[in-house]
Amino acid sequence: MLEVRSLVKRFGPVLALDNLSFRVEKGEVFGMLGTNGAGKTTTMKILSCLLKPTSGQALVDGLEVTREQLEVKRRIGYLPETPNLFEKLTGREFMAMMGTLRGMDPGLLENRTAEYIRILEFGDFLDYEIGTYSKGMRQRVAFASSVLHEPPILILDEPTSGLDPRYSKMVKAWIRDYAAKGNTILMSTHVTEIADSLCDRVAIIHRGRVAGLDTPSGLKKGLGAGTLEDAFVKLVEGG
Amino acid sequence: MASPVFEIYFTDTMTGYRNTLNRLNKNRLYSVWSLMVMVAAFGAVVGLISFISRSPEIEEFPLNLNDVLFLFFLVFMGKSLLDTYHYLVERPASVFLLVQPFGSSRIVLGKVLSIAVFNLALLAFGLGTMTAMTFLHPSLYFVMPPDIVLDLILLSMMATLVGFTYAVLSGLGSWPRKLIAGAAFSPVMSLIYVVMGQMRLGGWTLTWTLGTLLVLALIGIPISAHFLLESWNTMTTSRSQLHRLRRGNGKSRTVRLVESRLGKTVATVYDSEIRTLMRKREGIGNAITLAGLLVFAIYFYNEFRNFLGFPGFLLDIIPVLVVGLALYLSVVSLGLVPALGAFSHDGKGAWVYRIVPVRESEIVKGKTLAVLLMLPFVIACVAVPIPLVSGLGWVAILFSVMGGMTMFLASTGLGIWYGARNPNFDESTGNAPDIMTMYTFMLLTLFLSAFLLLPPLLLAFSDKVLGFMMLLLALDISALILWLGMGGAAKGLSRLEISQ
Repeated sequence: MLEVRSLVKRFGPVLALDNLSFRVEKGEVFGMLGTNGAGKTTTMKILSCLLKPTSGQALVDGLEVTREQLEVKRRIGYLPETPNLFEKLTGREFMAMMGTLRGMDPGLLENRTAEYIRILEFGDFLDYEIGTYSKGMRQRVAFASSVLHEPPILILDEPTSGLDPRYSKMVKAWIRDYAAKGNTILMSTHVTEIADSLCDRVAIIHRGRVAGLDTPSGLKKGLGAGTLEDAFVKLVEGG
Repeated sequence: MASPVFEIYFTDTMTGYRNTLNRLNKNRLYSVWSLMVMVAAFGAVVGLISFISRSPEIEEFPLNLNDVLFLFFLVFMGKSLLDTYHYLVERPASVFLLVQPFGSSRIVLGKVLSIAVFNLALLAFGLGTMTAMTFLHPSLYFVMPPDIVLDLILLSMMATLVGFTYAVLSGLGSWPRKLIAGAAFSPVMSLIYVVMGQMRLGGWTLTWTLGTLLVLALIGIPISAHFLLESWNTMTTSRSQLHRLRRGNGKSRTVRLVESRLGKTVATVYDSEIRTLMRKREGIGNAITLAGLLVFAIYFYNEFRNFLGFPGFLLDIIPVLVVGLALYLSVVSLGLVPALGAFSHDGKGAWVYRIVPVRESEIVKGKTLAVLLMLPFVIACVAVPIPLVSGLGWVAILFSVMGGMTMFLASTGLGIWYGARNPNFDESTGNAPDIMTMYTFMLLTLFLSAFLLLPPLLLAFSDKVLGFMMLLLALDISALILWLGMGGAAKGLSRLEISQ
């Protein structure tokens, strides 16, 4: 469903991804854990057609991301790490724009918008300019805009970042339900508890490589660690 | 511990230096070209001041030295105002200065110092260029009297202080507060105008008076320090600007028209652009620009039309020159500059258009249409009324309309092409195209306009029909430039990588 093969990405002299390879199966919630600058966001941006790899392959639903961009974009929803949106549009206008650009039928778009207003409790705020939103509100609008068209593959970069515990719990429950319907989710997080409780498998990324990949319990068992956090630290500090 | 004032100044200088270095390292050829443009521009300005200061023998010349010096002051004031606004008042990162254990006056002093030194460096660059020109050819021998050099230095420092203060005051929470504070500081600005415009002081008297006014302008520092925090909070905090907007379900007539002709995708991008531009109050800015151009053109025409110092043939073409100048300025400000910034103004939100399954050409079409929306206003407010008040006939008005369209299409094509390939996502610069890019493309627009419009204009003097046929051809070529520019923009956009 999602696959990266020997992916390399260089930014000038900096090697961000160093022969990174993994595969995410259909219906799986796959987590990427890593230190800052490990290469998680770069990988996600390559899979979302925002960056081009220096070498290697990135496949979405069997499609090569550098060759079939439009088809890839039709199949995915992407939530960036920082919710930079169009500040001068209202949340409702932004969601309508995203839905229309994704070719959604106006009736369906309206229904889905109403549904996410209810789920994420937007209330009247959706009719204010995005520039006036708090960080959490922006994150909720960005999240809703990324999933509005209900794509088969979701790429979520820190989906609970900036959310208070209540909304964070809501989003986690939504992700679980969405994957249970047979959709594929690739997400990154810094929070090991979220990866432990939510992900079917976890890849620990370190210096642009996969340092460890297994189920959360498999990783803990394999490294003799009590928690995923301990397992992560052992792997990262071990080099 | 180093003084906070010098620490702020040092940091700003380092940042400016590194930004310039990065820009220069990107493209060596561009750097050489930029240097040539800068030398020409500053040399010309300072040369003009020098020429007017040495030419009292030209009787009744409509511009005198004080006019030029006052223009110099206004330009530097505008630059300082924008710099303060972008680099301090609306910059979220200013929080790291405001939370430090020292008063706001230190921040103000540090920032004023940074802007003043940069302004003085620009002035020194202009004077240096003028001096260097004297070695090239004897006819380029300009000598700037020492009192005028001092006037320029004093004016650039005053412009920094006045621009800085107005930038801070413009960020206050409500319009009444902005107006009251602006009015309270206005005596400084009024005195500068009175001394230079009404009393027409000159020589060393002017220099001494400007020195005294500079001391008076220093009051801007405590005023700015007092209001800085409020201003910064207003411009960067969300709640104070909170206003609810009507539900935007209704589509405007132009959006419906675009949708019916070019499809839903182009219409959606166009709609989003228009809403963004209107809410950024670009509409008000554009209206002010057009009104200003109209007033400027009429003033310019009235001042110069009876000046006997010009040779006869020049007197005959003054109305044409005024129309050309007004059209050029309106095309640059309402076509070229918005087109150059069409992709930059999305800032860090640029990922949005890269993630949706839409062809880049559709996005470019939507954005270009939003820029072209200003074309009818340029026609209605500049291309028709200015030849009318200049006493030109209907043939000239038709020529002006078609010429304006030609210039607008060609410059939009240039701007959209370059803007998509080199967007500026640096929020610290307000996502605006850098000054050298602007100068370069303003010059390119000038050359291109001359290339497209001079042949039909010259031909029209002898044969109107042939002149118009050629103008039609020029209009076609400008449409081709726009089409090619849009194609190039789409290609550039498809190669754009969003790494931040």
